[in-house]
Amino acid sequence: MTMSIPDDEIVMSDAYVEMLLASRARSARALGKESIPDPTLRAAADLLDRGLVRFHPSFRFEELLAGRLRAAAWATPSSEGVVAFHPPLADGSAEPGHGAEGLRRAWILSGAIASGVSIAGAAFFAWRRARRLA
Amino acid sequence: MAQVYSFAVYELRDRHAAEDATEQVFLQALAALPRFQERGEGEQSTFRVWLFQICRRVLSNERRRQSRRAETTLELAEILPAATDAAETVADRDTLLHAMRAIDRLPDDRRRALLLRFVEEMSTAEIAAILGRSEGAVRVLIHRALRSVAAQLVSERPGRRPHSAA
Repeated sequence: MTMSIPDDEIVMSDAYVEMLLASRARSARALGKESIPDPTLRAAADLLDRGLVRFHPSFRFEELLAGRLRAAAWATPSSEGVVAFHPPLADGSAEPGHGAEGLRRAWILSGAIASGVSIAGAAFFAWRRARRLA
Repeated sequence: MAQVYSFAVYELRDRHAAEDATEQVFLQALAALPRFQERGEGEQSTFRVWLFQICRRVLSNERRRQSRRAETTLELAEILPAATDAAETVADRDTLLHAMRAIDRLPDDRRRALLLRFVEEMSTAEIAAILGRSEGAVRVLIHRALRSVAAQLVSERPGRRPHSAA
């Protein structure tokens, strides 16, 4: 059985969390303490805001995963995709044996990882760019 | 990648299991990439939502597998101190551990909504798309989750309210 919660209570706690998260970006705390009347709820939100940090994977794992993704991308049929190393080769081709004309869908993986760019972001950027060029 | 990995650490309580899950997520995403359809540009991109939908499925399966095998995963006590060294007091860390245990006992959707909001700093719209709920439902999930955590903290520390830095 669940008890119904007044809408304004939900709106207020949502607004308070929004303010907490926004204050992270501003590195400042100028929040309206009165925005949540329940002090225990406010304290819990404050605690989670401070304590729920983001964990980061090790570089070793990132490199390992980049290698596995690269291998997986290579294993896809050539009509579907081509892996592009970053930066591209001097002649502009993506890989030995794969000319630029084959670059319909490319995934930039290894160099992007080393520079701290997310795999997904880099892969998606490359894919969309290749799609626009196609 | 850090976002997926971090979410996996909170969900699975085990860095190695989180690495395995992260790998699964990205391999599945890579395989499914040809079917992905972008519906927004720039900050409106739906890529992160799509990736976290895959992530949610992978983690659901992994948590189910963990519960079937009754695996003992690392307590967050072993993970959290290193991550919060710079900031808080021992008392605060202790309170945070109580909060983490309370979060772990939450129903799946409440727990995920709370983590996606606080750790990944996602909007309610993004969380709604990931969980397949309405935005209003996500706000309720988060509110209920906060209430549960607050109640747990109060009950575990009689006479004390959760420590607030403010």
